Amino acid sequence: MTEKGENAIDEEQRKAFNPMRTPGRVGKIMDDYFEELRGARANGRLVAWTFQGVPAELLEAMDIASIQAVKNNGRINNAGLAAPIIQEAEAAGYSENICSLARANIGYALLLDRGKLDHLPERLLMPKPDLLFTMNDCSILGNWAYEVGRITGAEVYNIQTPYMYDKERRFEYCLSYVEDQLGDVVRLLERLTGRPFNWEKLRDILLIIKRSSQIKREIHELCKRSPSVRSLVDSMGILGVTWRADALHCRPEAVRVLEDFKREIEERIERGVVSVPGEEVRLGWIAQMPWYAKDDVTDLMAKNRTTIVGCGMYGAYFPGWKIRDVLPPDGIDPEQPIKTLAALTISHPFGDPMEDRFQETIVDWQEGLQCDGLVFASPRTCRPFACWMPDLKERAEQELGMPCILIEDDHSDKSFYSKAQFDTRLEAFVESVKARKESPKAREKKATPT
Amino acid sequence: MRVVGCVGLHVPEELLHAAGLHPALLPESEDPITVGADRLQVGFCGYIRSVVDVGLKHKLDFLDGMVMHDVCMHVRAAHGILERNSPQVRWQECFWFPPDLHKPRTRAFVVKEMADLKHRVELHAGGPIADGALHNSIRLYNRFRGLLQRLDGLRRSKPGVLSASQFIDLVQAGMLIPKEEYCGLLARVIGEVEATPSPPLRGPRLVLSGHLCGAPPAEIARVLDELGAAVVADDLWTGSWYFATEVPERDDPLEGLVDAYVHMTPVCPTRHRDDRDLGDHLLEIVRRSDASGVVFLIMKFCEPHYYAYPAASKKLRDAGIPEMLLETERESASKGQVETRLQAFVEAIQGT
Repeated sequence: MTEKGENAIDEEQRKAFNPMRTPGRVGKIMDDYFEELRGARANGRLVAWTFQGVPAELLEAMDIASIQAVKNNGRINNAGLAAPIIQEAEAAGYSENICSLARANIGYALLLDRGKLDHLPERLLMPKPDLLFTMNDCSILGNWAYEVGRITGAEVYNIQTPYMYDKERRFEYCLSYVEDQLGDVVRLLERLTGRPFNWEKLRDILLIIKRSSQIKREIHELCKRSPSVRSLVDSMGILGVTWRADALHCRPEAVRVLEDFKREIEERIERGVVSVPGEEVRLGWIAQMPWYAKDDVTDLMAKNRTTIVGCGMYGAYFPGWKIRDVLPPDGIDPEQPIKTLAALTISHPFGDPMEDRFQETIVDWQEGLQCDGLVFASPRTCRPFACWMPDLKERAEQELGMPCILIEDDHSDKSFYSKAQFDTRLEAFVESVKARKESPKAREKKATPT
Repeated sequence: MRVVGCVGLHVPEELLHAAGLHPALLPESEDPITVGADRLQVGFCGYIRSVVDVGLKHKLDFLDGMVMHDVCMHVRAAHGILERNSPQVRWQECFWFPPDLHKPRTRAFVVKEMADLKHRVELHAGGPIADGALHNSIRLYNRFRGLLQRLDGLRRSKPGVLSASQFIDLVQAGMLIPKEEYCGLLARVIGEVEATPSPPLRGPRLVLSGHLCGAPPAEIARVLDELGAAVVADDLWTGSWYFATEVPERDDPLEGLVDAYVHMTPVCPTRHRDDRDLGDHLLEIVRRSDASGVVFLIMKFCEPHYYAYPAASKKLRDAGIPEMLLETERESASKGQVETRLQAFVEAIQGT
């Protein structure tokens, strides 16, 4: 019996997964950025914690040191040091049933306010915010940020992001509403910093975002091949730098990481290196992969010759692409910065109705990826992600003819995750997918040219 | 009668009423959740899971329509599920108002959305809503609110004259029975209550707070009644929330509905304002009603309420006001535990 239990795979099996190299760089980039963040105030800069997909480009244009609060959660979680922080929030009366990311961040704010973060090494410290910048496509983000604001004394700006049902009728005035609010944000940042807004820098940042988004689309196209050269674990590994909503994705470094990622994929294609040698099954993952289960996901792939090819949150990963009709050709126009950022803000998938979410994060995303099945991972404490999953799963089964499974986990609270269930259910699912692929009907379909 | 089921807080019922429709706030069902569990995971609130469940069981097919206010992800989930899986309810609308009430831009957006909602109601109802009809509906609803406010005042001045259960039932009935008819019934109840002498007070004067969207489990009010506690005020959805905010009468009646939303009296955890928070609101209620304690009722998985509770409870404790929290759940709620906890709370207050 190994430390991991009966289902542990041996070293030989684990070699049957080839992780990409580029994600290994991200840790240092994040550490360096957190060091910059901790020194920001001493250098006369304000600090902002950001949430969800806010237009942090505005903050970066004004040299405000911004960080997505959940990235700090993730780093602390990975280091196995989250428990006292979460306990702090629960002891203060925040239910274990609220979003685990919120719980961790509120706990952090409480301990920070009392100067009680001694258990964390310096590299995991995030400084107190001057500003909390959020949006409410997920309805509790405002609640979360206002609570942290109450604890830390930071100013809160909550972009009121409309629920985008019936877009044909409402899109224009909802866009206009968010544009006006971003104008208010600009004035707020001028007041907080005492400086006029730096529109030139904002245009440069949008050029970076534009380039990043283009590379992401190119990567997505390159990965439409079987066997897969990139897995979900690889994609998640660079998110720290490339995910929107703080300074990191606004900088040339993000483009370099993406270019390296793309180059590595091209090299793997050329050399015939694949993520899982002998790949038999390709799965798509709908919703976030819980980072604490990374090894379990890797083991699943290696043990079962299965590649989890990526995660369907299409529009959120390719900023601008779904609004390319609004701002042709790619949804990001540096000459219309406020309109671009407003359109990006209201096009976050959580603000979409079910039909749009199905089309974008499942149908469009998986097209060409040759998925044999889809895993719907329903996070217990994240209602926006969990929302409609049973219906989305059913539609994928009915309309795409794709076998699907729905499992429950949580994006950061391990108490809602069961490794035994994860292993058992997903292995059984993979076996059923394999059997289906090998069925006479499937073979006949494959043999028949379309 | 064309009944339109309403879900979510702050639905401008007067619009529906003025269109000749009958708005009915859907209550939580007693049915065990069965088919709904296939569509909505357990981490969603019990009220929404119940609405989805009865919808999928076709028990809402009699409705002429459903209107949902997208106040939270739970309501959003329900709207999407029922829109897809309950096509028998052919008209299903949802609308979204900005949650930050204090922001200058909120009002203008609500004006736009309210006008848009009115237009969609008109399309469904088959005719325009005349300003005169809307004025009349607003006056009727304000009259209804005024009657409940009088009853609220009576339970404050004559604690125990109405049990906690009775008051919640009276409000909840008013969410379903046409207001034209119900105002007459309420007036009779008020007359009877006014004529009833104050009963001797056996227990503490309490305030109940919370339980957004649905009524609290009946046993809570029943236990409090049995313990002799007098609920003299509340901050419940099936309580003062439903009648606390009068719609101001403006030349343009839509403007009145907008103002009622933006300047609502209750402090709703799904909304935000910067002039006062839930703790401030409860302190006002406690002082006005001379209450001795507050019982917070949070429906399990009601996220907005979870966020509001810690600061509100601290504010009460700092002001020396005893408070307790009961988290209610549809499944596996231990009635004995509820009884024990409430009993301990009541005795603790009486002992001080």
